Amino acid sequence: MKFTPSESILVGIGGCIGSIARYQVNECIPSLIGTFIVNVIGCVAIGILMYESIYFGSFSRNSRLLLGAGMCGSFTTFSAFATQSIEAGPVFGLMFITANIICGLLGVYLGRDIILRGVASWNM
Amino acid sequence: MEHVILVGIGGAIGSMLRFELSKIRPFRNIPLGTAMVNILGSFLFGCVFFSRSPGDIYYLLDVGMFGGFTTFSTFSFETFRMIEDHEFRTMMLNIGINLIGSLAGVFISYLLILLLFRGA
Repeated sequence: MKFTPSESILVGIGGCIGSIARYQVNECIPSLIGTFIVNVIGCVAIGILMYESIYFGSFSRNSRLLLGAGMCGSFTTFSAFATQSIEAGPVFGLMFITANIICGLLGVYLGRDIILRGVASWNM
Repeated sequence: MEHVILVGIGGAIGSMLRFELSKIRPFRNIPLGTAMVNILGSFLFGCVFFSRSPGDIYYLLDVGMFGGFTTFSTFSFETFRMIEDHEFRTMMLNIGINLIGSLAGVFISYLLILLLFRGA
């Protein structure tokens, strides 16, 4: 629970980049589809990053803070997702929620798969 | 001001606040830090969104700060870890808390703004 300024700054830099990237995607693809796309891409990215760290550990704690907690964390969003779900009404809202949750989990799975397969093929 | 700059400043502040708040210990394997930022962030996002704030405030606070404060990637990763550990009850509970909490947060923000600005 200790406050570490250098770690916080890394997360802040990543967060700045991640949210600008999300804004740019939303400029090209607005509303629900845009939110869905950033969420799924962010889930694949965090899957790659975290499972690389868990299985092989090439990423340092600082790069996890910058890329994971910072960039992926702020690239994806729960607040816009929740608000758009309410706005979309019960039928579309429920479809949107289901799609985000399932594809988000599949995204993490894909990220883990990329790491496991990728490393297996490099070692051949 | 340029929207990109506002979004970037908001996103940096939001993600730093999320990082500090998510240091809270999990309760019965439920990552309460993530749930808390998502619920609180959704409520605050709704407040700005439904009050039809001017563009600059919307981009700084909603797109930047609360967008960066809440997170879907960490939520999905933590939920996926529960599936890996065969903790299906914890997984359903985690999805339920995040989802129902943040939807309720948005709904309450809508009612609050309605009450404050449109004199219901």
